[in-house]
Order: sequence, then C-alpha cells, then structure tokens
Amino acid sequence: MSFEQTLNDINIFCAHENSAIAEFAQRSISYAQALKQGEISTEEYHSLLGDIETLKSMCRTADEEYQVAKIFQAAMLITSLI
Amino acid sequence: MKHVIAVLSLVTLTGCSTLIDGITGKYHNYDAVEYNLAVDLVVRSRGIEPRCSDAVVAKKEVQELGQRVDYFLAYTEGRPYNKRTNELAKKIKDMVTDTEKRDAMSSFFCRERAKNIVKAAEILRGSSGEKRE
Repeated sequence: MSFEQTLNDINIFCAHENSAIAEFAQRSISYAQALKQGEISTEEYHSLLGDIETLKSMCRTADEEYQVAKIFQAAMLITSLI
Repeated sequence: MKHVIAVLSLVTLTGCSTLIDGITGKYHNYDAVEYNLAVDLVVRSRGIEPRCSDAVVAKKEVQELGQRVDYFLAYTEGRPYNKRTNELAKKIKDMVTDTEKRDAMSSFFCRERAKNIVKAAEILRGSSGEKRE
C-alpha cells in the first residue's frame, strides 16, 4: 500500500479527527527513518506499521459511534423543531 | 371537560415520550463508569513512554496497563451497549500483549509503541465520551 493511499484511508476513517491524519503520517515517516538509521529492526518496523493499521481500524470503529451520535443529534433537533 | 382534556394531554405526552424513548433509547447509552475506566487507561498508558530508557521497567508498566485493560474488557463484556468500546479495548490488549511477549525491544520501538498505545486509549476514550451526544 502506498503512503498516499494510507493517508487517504486515514482521511476517511478519522473524518472527525483531522489531527490524527497528520499524526499518523508523521509516525510512519519517523519509523522509516529509524529503520534506515538502524534504530529499529525490520520486525519492529513492521510491528509499528501494524500499529498504524490498528489505529486506523480503531478510528473506523469509533467513527461509527460518532456518526450514530450525529444522526441521533439531528433527529432530536428535528423532533424539537416539530 | 377541562379534566378530560388535561388527562388526554397527559396521556398523549407520556405516550410521545415513551415512543421517542423507544426509538432513540438504544442511543442513550453513555456509561460514566466506562468513561472513567477509559480515562484511567489513557493516564496509565501515558506512563509507559517516560520509562522506556529501561525496558524492564517499561514492560512492568505495560503489564500493569494490561491488567487494567482486562478489567475494562470484563466490565464491557457484560453490557451489550458497550460492544463497540469492547472491540476497541481488544485492539489495545493486542498491542499490550505483543509488547509483553518481547524478549527485547529497542528504545525507539518502546517509545513509539507507547505513543501508539496512548493514541489507541485516546480513541477508546473518545468513543466512550461520544455516546453522550
């Protein structure tokens, strides 16, 4: 998966938390640099990239909750207007 | 006549309220205890990174966090409307378990893993808190 693709995915899954996009991107870059400089092993590098995937997945799950909350909020607003 | 209208109004209002609660009730699921436990996970996870200069001490901290995640899982398992937060906590548990199993880890890995666990705990806390909206 390309770096741009990863960013796009995060953009979708963390739609309500824009700071997460930049944060995840920064982390991925620093992992690659650390691998290059020999600060981490290849296994550790892949584990950390796996963490980013996990965080993306968690954002997706959390977003479902967020969207339900927003729909509920809108429904309550409409009800109050009626 | 006034009494009849008053009684009918009361019945109608009560009926509407019950109906709205019935439709929307499943979203009234904010759980203060769960939110408190989620905040505890955030605070404890923030304690890992400063201890990464000593992998043994850092791992002990991770183990203690793991016990708190177990408690969170046990709490949320018993409540159907905490299913989503339970799913999120399982992801944290996986990261914690992976860290515990490592014989050795670099200082960089420890610090970054700690940051990722903090982020995961913050997402969990956010998800728990959003239920209130």
